[in-house]
Amino acid sequence: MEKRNDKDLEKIIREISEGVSQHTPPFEEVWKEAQERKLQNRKVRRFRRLAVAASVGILLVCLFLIRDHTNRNSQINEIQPLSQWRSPTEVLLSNPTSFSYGAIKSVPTDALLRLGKIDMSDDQEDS
Amino acid sequence: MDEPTLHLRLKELHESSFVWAMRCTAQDKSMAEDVIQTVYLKILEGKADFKGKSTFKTWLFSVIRYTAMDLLRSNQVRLMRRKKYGEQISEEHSPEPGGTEDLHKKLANLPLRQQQVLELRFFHALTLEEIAQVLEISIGSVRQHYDRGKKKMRILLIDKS
Repeated sequence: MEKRNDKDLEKIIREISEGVSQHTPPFEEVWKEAQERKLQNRKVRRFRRLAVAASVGILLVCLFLIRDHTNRNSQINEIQPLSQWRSPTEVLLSNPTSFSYGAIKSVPTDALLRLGKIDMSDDQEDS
Repeated sequence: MDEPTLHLRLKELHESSFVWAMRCTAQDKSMAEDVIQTVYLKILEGKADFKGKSTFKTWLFSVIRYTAMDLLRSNQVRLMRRKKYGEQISEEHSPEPGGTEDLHKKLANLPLRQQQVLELRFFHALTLEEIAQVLEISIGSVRQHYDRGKKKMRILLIDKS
């Protein structure tokens, strides 16, 4: 009895599925489309790889530029402020009590005699 | 498996593959076509590779089921709209009793698993073991779905005839 019922069910389901199978698109058409999609996917993948490589390159260049810029900024910060800047010839502008006078004092006496800056006659008379 | 052999075997099974894809996509023709094309693409790209662990048909059917599930997940909204549209149509138009459309509706009243088991058993002539492999469930579960499906289908056929 159950077997007979199964046969009936099988017949009904076959009938339903055969109705569906009538709408099957032709194999070659689907296969061709799948092959075209494969080629297209390959192109897309290649383009994506290139895009990723290009964006990585751009990112690296940007990072390099940012690093370079910050380095330059830190160098500028290391330079003395203008208010503390001293001219190299400033020493010459100081008064006699300071370094320059000491330098003159340290010049050998013979040289000053030759320049006629010191009169030695009184000293010779005394002696 | 080389491409010409693959091509030949897929061609042989093309019609039943489409019927199975229709069942897995709740009879959405355009989605079933998408599924079949995507399955062929997966095979061509080597993403789905037949390793000979089961029969070719069983393997192909499980690839179709997986692909249909993926597509259904990404087309949830479309499916819901279709359901609503289907409900509207069924309200407006009642199929001829005992006709293919009527039988179709009766089978569609069963839970999807039961529909799948009955179709795989009666139309695609798979064994219960093979059905278990395709659906990735135990043979015990297959038997349960098979028996319940048959019972329900008989009741529906008696009630509405």
